[in-house]
This record gives sequence, structure tokens and C-alpha cells, in this order.
Amino acid sequence: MVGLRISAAIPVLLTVALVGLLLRGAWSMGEVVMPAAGLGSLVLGTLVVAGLATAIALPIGLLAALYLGEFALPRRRRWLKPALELLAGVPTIVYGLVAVMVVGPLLHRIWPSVQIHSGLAASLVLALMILPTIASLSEDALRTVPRQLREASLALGATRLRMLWVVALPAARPGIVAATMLAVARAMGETMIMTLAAGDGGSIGLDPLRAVETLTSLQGRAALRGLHDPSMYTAAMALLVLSLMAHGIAHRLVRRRGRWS
Amino acid sequence: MTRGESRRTVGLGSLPRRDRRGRIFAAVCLAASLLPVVVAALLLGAVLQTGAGLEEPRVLLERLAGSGTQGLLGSVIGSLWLVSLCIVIAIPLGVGAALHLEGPRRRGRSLLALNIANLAAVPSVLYGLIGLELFVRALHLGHSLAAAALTLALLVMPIVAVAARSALRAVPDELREAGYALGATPWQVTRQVVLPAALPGILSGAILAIARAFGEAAPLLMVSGLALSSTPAQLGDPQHVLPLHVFEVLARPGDASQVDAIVGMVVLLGTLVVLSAWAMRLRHRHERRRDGQ
Repeated sequence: MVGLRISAAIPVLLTVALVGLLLRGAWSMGEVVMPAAGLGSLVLGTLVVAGLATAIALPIGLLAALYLGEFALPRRRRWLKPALELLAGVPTIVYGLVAVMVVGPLLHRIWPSVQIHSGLAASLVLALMILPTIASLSEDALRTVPRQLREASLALGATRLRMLWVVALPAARPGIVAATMLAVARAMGETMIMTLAAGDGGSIGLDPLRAVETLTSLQGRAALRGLHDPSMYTAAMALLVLSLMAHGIAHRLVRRRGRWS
Repeated sequence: MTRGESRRTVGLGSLPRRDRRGRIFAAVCLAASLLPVVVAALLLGAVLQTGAGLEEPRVLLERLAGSGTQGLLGSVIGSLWLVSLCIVIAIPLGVGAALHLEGPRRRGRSLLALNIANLAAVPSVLYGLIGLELFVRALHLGHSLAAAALTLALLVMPIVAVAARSALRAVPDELREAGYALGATPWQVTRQVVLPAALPGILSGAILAIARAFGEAAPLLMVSGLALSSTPAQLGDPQHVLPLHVFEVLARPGDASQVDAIVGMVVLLGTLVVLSAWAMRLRHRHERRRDGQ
């Protein structure tokens, strides 16, 4: 039984290590070991790329969730949902490969003002990556809305669309927002796509048609060059704060969802 | 919510024929849910087509076979070593943490659960940095297979713990009580009653953890960098692994053929599909047996 306690202590130890990492990031800020690009522009770059990806993925993901949760017959849902979840499990290096070998060049050919390494290409592939997360979790949220609410609305003469719009979606909104925040956090912390497709190591800017350097692409590139870059810790700290913020919002919303059950 | 209720579908099924707008909207929703699958398939096809033009299959096979430990084949073997080591570390830790959380009442349990949930929020690169500081530098393991496996174990341990927790919670209390009624000690009940009953759930969580560990590249990049020469089966040696091999080919074009990356991708995806199907089957069978009770 002592062993159980030790293994349960590991998450705590990990958290301590993370706090240490945070402190180290703050320390290197004090020593002015800032990333050459400047922390602010990296944070903004991360937000631009992740935000664009979410803006693409959210409407499609929501429609997919509506289909899976509201319209699909069990027979079709049984293979569609696992297929989407499989997409969520694809290693991110594969997405990075697709971004750099297909999406980037394709965008460049269709729309020549887009560079081969561009924030837009990274956003598109990130959107594909986070879409299953949004769809699957939003569907779970829709399913927690009690059937009685829907039936009451339908009994009052609402059409199915009206019922969805007036009853089901508002009731599921906390869960949907939480799913979106989790997806944003995943997009922000994604390293392979960002390193391979978003940044090219040189340019600093926020124009998604050009290369955008992000917090994670800086870390990936630093590791590529040989690991000894103290500014990595500053970027890591900023990334940790951003993703914990997104998760904090999601967590709070999910806890509030309990009022229906 | 009881078990039966949670499995009942809430959706109301297909729409009445006269609701035209509703039917059109449903069709749009269907298109949206098919879109990611179709786009992913198209992109995959485009990558494969790019790769098919680059090299003859026979030349490719010969090169892969002859490349030794530096090439793709070596990296696959390295990945297998890494993943087995990582899983051997992560499963006991994860199951242990789950047993602790689901065991008899203990102090600080909700805090610990919250902690594990929050660890899932940490981006995987940061695990790499922790591994770099903790294992590579503080414990002097160097850029080794051991350090990489420990880092990955930290990363996948919450996955195992969460899956094991829900599997343990699904074990009916009657089974435990029956064990206690026969005079078993808590440890005997855990080992001989609860764990066997929860095994399929734990196993499917472990398989998902394996799939994750196999494809994860970012933390390994942090821990071991690309300075990799490999002689497998030595814990202290740096290890060439498949995701990093793909990354290296893509990030430093020219060093190796792009075909390597594409073949690597196929291997990664194939492994993912096989493991996911296995996990799903286990879960499915378990659910059916449970509901049949």
C-alpha cells in the first residue's frame, strides 16, 4: 500500500517540477534572457495561429457535433464517431508532415502571396487536428441536455431546428465553450506543426500569410539547434500560463454543467 | 445518473419528412462531420502520391533494408524499445495512482484528482523541458534512452491513471463486499477481485497510452535532441526513434530522402489504427459483458 501512495505522489512531484520551470522562466526573464523575437510577439503569434485554427474548426466542429448528437442514426454514428476520434489520435508529427509537404505548397500555388511556411498553413492543419476534439466534446455536452427539455419544446410546437437553437444549444453552451477552450489549449501547445509549418526561423511578424514564429516553434527550433537556449524557459513559462488559463476556464465551465444531471 | 440511463441515446433520430429546412440543415451537419475525414484522406493521398513519384519501390526497399541503425528501420526498432520501457514504467504508476484515488477514503483525494486533470493540460513540449532538467541534467542520465523513456512515462501516466480510475469505478461494489464477506484483506480484494474485473478497462487505457507514446515527438526532441547515434538495447545510449527521424528529415531537407518521412508516416498511422482498433474492441467487449450481467 505504500507503493500506491508513492505512485500517487508522482503527479504532485510533477507539479512541483512545473512550478520550478515557471520560476526558472521568471528567473531568466529577470536576467533578460528574452527570446530574440521578444516574448510579446511570440505570444501574439501563438494566439493568432491558434485563434485562426479555432475560428476555422469551431463552426465545422459544432455542426459535426449537432449531426452526431442530434440527427445521426445510431448505425451511422457508430462508425463516424470512432473515425473522428481516430483523427484526434494521429501523431502530430504526421500533421506536421502533411502541413509542410502538401498544405503549404498547395496554398502557395493557389494563392501566390502565401509563403510556403505560413501561419495560415499551420492554422489549417491545426484546425483539422482540433476539430475532432471540439466535435466529440460538444456532442457529449449536447447529450447531457435532458430529453425532457427537448420534448417540452417540441410539444409546444417548436420545429426541431427551433428546439436546437432555443433549448439544446443554450443548455449545452458551457460544455461547448469548455470543449473549445480545450481545443485552443491543444492548438497553442502543439509543437511539431508550429515548428515545421508556421515558423521559418527568420521572420518575426503576425501576418498569417507569412511565417509566424510562435512560443512552441521557438522551442522546437532551439532544440533543433542544440538545446542550450535559456530563452526556451521564458517561452515555456508563457506557454504554461496560457494553456493553464484556457484549461482553467474550461474546468470551471464543466463543473457548472452539473445543474442538468 | 444510473448506468442504463447514461447509455440511452438522447438524440431524437431522423427528422419528419415535411420539415424541409430541418432536413437541409441535417444534411449540412452530415457534410460537416464527413469533411474532416474526407480532407484527411485527401491529404494522406496527396502525400502518398508525392512519395510514389520520388523513388522506385524496389530501390526504396533495398535502401531501407541496408540503412542499418541510422535509418528508418533502426528508428522503428528504437521506438519499440522506447515505448516498451516507457509502458513498463507508466502502467504501474498509473494504476497505482488510480488505486489510491479509488481506494478507501483518504485525505487530499479531490486535490490529487484535480492535479491529475491539470497535468493533462500541460503541453507535451513542457514535459520535454521537465525531462531535460530532471532526468538529463539533475539525475545525469544524459540524452539517453532511459531519460527519454522516463519523460514519456510522465507524459502518458495520466492517460493510464484516468482510464484505470474509470475502470475501477465501474467494478460493482457487490464484488468487493463479497470479497470482504469471505474474510479477504483489502489488499487481497484489490488484487484478486477488483483488478481482474477492471483489467479490460485498464488495458484499453494502456493501449491508448502506447499509441500516444509511439507517436510523440516534441518531448523527445527536447530530451534527446537530434544528436542520435544508435546502438539499441543500451539504456545509457541516445536512441534514434521514429517520430524524430521523420522530424529530422522534414526539418533538415537534404540529409535524407523525403521518402523516409513518408514511409515513417505510414508506419505511424498503421500502428495507430491497429492499436486503436484493439483498444476499441476490448472496450466494446467489456461493455457488452457488463451490460449482459
